[in-house]
Formats: sequence, structure tokens, C-alpha cells
Amino acid sequence: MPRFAAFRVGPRTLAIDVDHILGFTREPVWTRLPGARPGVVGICNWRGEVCPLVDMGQLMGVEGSGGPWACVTASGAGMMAILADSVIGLEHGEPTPVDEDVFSGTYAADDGERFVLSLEEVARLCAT
Amino acid sequence: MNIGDMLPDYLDEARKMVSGLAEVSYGLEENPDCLKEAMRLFHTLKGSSGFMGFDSVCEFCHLAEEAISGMKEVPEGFPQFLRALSSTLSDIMDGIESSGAELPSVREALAPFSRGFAGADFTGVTGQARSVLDETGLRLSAERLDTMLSLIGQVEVLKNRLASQTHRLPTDVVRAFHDLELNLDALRDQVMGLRMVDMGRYFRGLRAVVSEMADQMGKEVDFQTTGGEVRVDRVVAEGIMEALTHLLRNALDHGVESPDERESAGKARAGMVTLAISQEGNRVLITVSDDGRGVNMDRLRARALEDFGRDMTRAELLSLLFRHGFSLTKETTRYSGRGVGLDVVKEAVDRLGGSVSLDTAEGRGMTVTLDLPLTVLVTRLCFVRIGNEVFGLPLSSVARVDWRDDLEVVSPAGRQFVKTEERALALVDAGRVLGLSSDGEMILTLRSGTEDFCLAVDEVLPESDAVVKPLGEMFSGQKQFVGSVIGADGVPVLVMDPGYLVDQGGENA
Repeated sequence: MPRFAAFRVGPRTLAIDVDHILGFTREPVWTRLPGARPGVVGICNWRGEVCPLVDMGQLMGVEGSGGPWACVTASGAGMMAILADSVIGLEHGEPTPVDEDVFSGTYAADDGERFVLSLEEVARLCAT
Repeated sequence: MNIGDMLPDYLDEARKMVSGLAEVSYGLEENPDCLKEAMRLFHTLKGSSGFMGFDSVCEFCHLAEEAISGMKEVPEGFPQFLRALSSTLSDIMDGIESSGAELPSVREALAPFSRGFAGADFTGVTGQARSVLDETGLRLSAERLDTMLSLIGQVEVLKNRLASQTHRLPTDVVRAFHDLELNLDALRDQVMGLRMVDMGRYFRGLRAVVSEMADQMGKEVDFQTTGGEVRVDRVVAEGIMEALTHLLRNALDHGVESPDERESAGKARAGMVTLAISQEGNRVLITVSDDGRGVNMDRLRARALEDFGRDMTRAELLSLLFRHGFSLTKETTRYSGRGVGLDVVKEAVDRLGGSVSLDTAEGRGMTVTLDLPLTVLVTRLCFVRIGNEVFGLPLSSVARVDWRDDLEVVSPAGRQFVKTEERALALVDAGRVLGLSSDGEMILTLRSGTEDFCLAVDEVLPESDAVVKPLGEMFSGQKQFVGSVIGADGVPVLVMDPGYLVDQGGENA
């Protein structure tokens, strides 16, 4: 069964395939990127590499997340850090595909539903 | 004499053949007849490699020769393919030199190229086959080399962070830190050296271009080159080659007159075209000059008046020659007159973080000087504060810094200019371009391509060396920035593109 890293953004719990996770960092060091799309907070430093810092709360139209955590990912869309209110951890899930904006599927966990992020779709929405 | 004694001569000749392939590849883009030259080079290399018993190279050259002999025109991607192949063969020669034999990995290294020739598909091989050898003969891909340089850049960032804290450290730790600093600089120079190439390797291809064009145009040309020993970053050398071809094309087409015309003007029948390369610190200066007819400034002034409705200074007039679509020649030839050429030069120079200048004397010729960084890996940056944010700018583009109060700023028709004795420079408000609140109390005079302009910022901060990395595909539309660096405090800093800012000058000044 696939493994996911789960974290909270406002009222939603998001999940990302663990193969795409580089790590979590608290209070990432970042700078604003003038002219970026709403949802792109700026660029941040992840172990010497610069990557986009994304606020999924803005992209989903929900309150939060302004951090303090960031989930750093790498996929075909490149590196990207996604702000999170809190980190739940690693868990197994069997997602059911959905066709909903930035989500590729959902699965149920003990404490509620998980929304599996499509990193490529997030990157597409954030691209300038 | 045994075979081993002949190795130095073989390598000497083979390296000439291999660098000849790279040079010919540039000629191919202009002149399909260079295919014959490529075939000759493979034929010679095949013979000498066979004699030395280097069977993989020999068999490969035979395959290449056969494939090229069947080509009626230059296939798509072939010049780039040939350049990548030249690079790989160069590595193979290094391997033969260090080991005294053809390493087993040679066949593997040549395999993608063999497939390219066998299937007549020359696209897609360019990147994957590039490699370099270190002095122990170990194979090192260009990508891995770039990763090493990137890591060195990151260590340098940490070094800079430590450097700002040395006053808190005991003396012996500070001494160890300075030793570390020296060793890190030496390591960076060594690794960077692996990416450097002699500019001379491209001369033969350019000579072929000049010779071919001179024949087509019925002109006599004495083409001189100097400075082939200057070593520059391969990315800079390859990034400027198309621009050099354009400059030589312009020199021959617009500059050098026909032999009869020159004779009646009291000049030698053969025009002189010179390509001179020199190193100035961490910059490379490339000068292309001719002793032809030069630019008719009266005609240029009249054309400018016609197109822009105002008289211009000499510097402004000359900068028009670098504008896209601007040409003094009404008729188009195979080589020029379509208003493309010098704008391509400016674009290439801008991309590499350099500048270009032009000088001319009517009847005496024209000189174009390109001022480029030796390497694009480490850039000396000037940091500025705009509002509450810090940004970087390539220091090479900063000509001077002034307080706004010390300058005369005029605002005709809502646009701002900084007035000096000789000229008026457009003043760009960096805060407005970036959407930031800024007082703009300091004014930088920046040079981008051929144009100087002024940029208003809030504060100028200390400069430093940094490895600028692109922002990545997601932000490929962010033309105002060339990339980012990690500051000494670990915070990413965006590096502005002076070329973009000057383009915004008219709208935002």
C-alpha cells in the first residue's frame, strides 16, 4: 500500500506521496518574489537549494497555512516547499482518484479524510 | 621506435582533429560544404588511430566518415551533435594520454554517437554525452561537475556566514578558518578549470565562415586572430559563438568594400578583419574589427530622425544599430540587411551578463567590443535594498553610484532622466518596477548591452562573489530576475536582470 506524508493546512489534511518528500522544516528561511502568482509566498532556502514556497491555503481558498512548517518536495515539476500548520507524519493509504483542482485522490484515515496533492498541478497553478 | 614513443605525436594530431570538429560544427551552420571538412577530419583520425591500434576510435571514425559521405545537407541537430562528439573525443584523448591505452569505456562513451550516425538521428545526444576527465583519467559527467560546483558554492555561502562571525572566535579557530578559506578558493579554481576551454579551438570554424562569405561576396579578406590561448568557461564560449559569426558577417557584408572600391579609396585590395581576444582580470574582451567603410553617421542620423522624430547623440545613434529590426541597408542579401544581426549579438551578450560597445570612423572601419565574464559560475554581485527587500545586481553592470541629491533629475513629459554634461540617462524606479515602496535615494548608473541607464534604489550594500542559480521552470516567466543566490545569512536573494530593467525604463521612468 502506498505511503504518504500527511500535514494540515487549515481545516484540510493534505497528503503527498512519500517518494516526493525531501523533508519537513520548521520556519523556513524565505524571501518574497515580486510578481509571483497568489499562493506563491516566495522562494526559500532548503539546504543551499532555492525552491518556491507555496501557501496551499491561498490556492484552496481556505484559512491557513502561514506555517510554521514547510514540506519540501521534489517531483517532475521540480522542487517546491508547501507551508503547513502542523505535521501528522507518515501513513499508508489507498487513494480513490478524484478530478478536483490540485488533488489527484483522497483516502480515509482514522482521524478524517486525506487529500492527495498533485504536485504537477500545484506547479502549473503557481507558474509565472 | 615503438608505438608508445609515437603517442605524443598521435595525441597532438588527434587533438587538432578533434578541436577541428568543434570548429567545423560552427561553420556547418553557415556552410554545408564544411561537411567535407568534417569527413576529412574523421578520415585522418581513423588512419592514425588504426595505426596506433586504437580500434574503437578507428571503427567509430569509419562509421562517421561513411555516414557523412551520404549526407546531402546538414541534418537537424548535427552541428550540436558534432560539438558534443568533439567534447567526448577530447575526453577520450585525455584518457589515452593518462593511461597510455584505449580505455574499455571508450566504446561505451562513443555508443550514443554511433547510434546517432547509424540511425541518422542527431537530436538528443548533445547533453547526455558531454563529459570531462580529471587528471587521473576518471570520467566525470558535465552534470556531475556542475553539481560539484554547486556544492562548492554552498560551502562558500557557509564560509561567508562564518566570516561574519570571526570576531567572536578564538585566534586559533580564526587562523584555521583562513586556511579553510584559502583551500576552498583553490578547490573552486581547480574544479572551475575543468570547464574552461581555449578560445583558439573555435578559430578554424570562424575562419571557414569568413573565407566562405568572402568568396560568395567577391571580396578579398585578410582574417587575423589573436588570443586563442585565453581560456574561458565553455558555456561563455559556446554562448557567444553565434554572435561572433554575426559580427564577422556584418564586417564582411557591410564593412569591407569590394577590392576595386578599396583600391580606388587608396586601400589595400584585401580588407583586414581582426578577431582579438584578451583577458582582463576575470573578464574576457573580444574585439571584432574591420578596416572597411565604417558607419555613415549622417545617414544614421537621418534614419533616426525619420524613425524616431528627434535628433540623437552619437552614443544613442550607435546604440540603434543593436535594436531588433533596425538596419541601414535597405536591400537584403543572403547574409544581412534584414535588421537582425547586431540585436542577436546584444541578446547573447546580455544573456551572459556582459556588455557590448561599438566604435566607428567613416571610411576607416568599425570595431565591436564584447566584454564578458570569464565564467558564468561565480558572479560578483552588488547588493541593493529596495523597500524592505534586498536584491542582487551583477557588479559588472554597475558603472557608478550617486546620491540622488547630488544629481540633476529632470522630468519632461512625465518621464525621469538623470542629466549629465554629455547626456540624459533614463531613470528607472526599481521600487515601481518591482511593486515595492521605495524612496530611491541612491542612484546606480547601470550598463546593459549597449545602453546606460539609472536605477533608483534605497541603499547600496557590500558586494560579494556568489553562484547565481536560475529560478527554475516554474518561474521562467519572471524576466526581471536572472536567478537567485543564498545570502550570507542564509536568506535567498533575487538577482535582477539589468536588461529587463532598461526595457522597463521607458514605461516606468
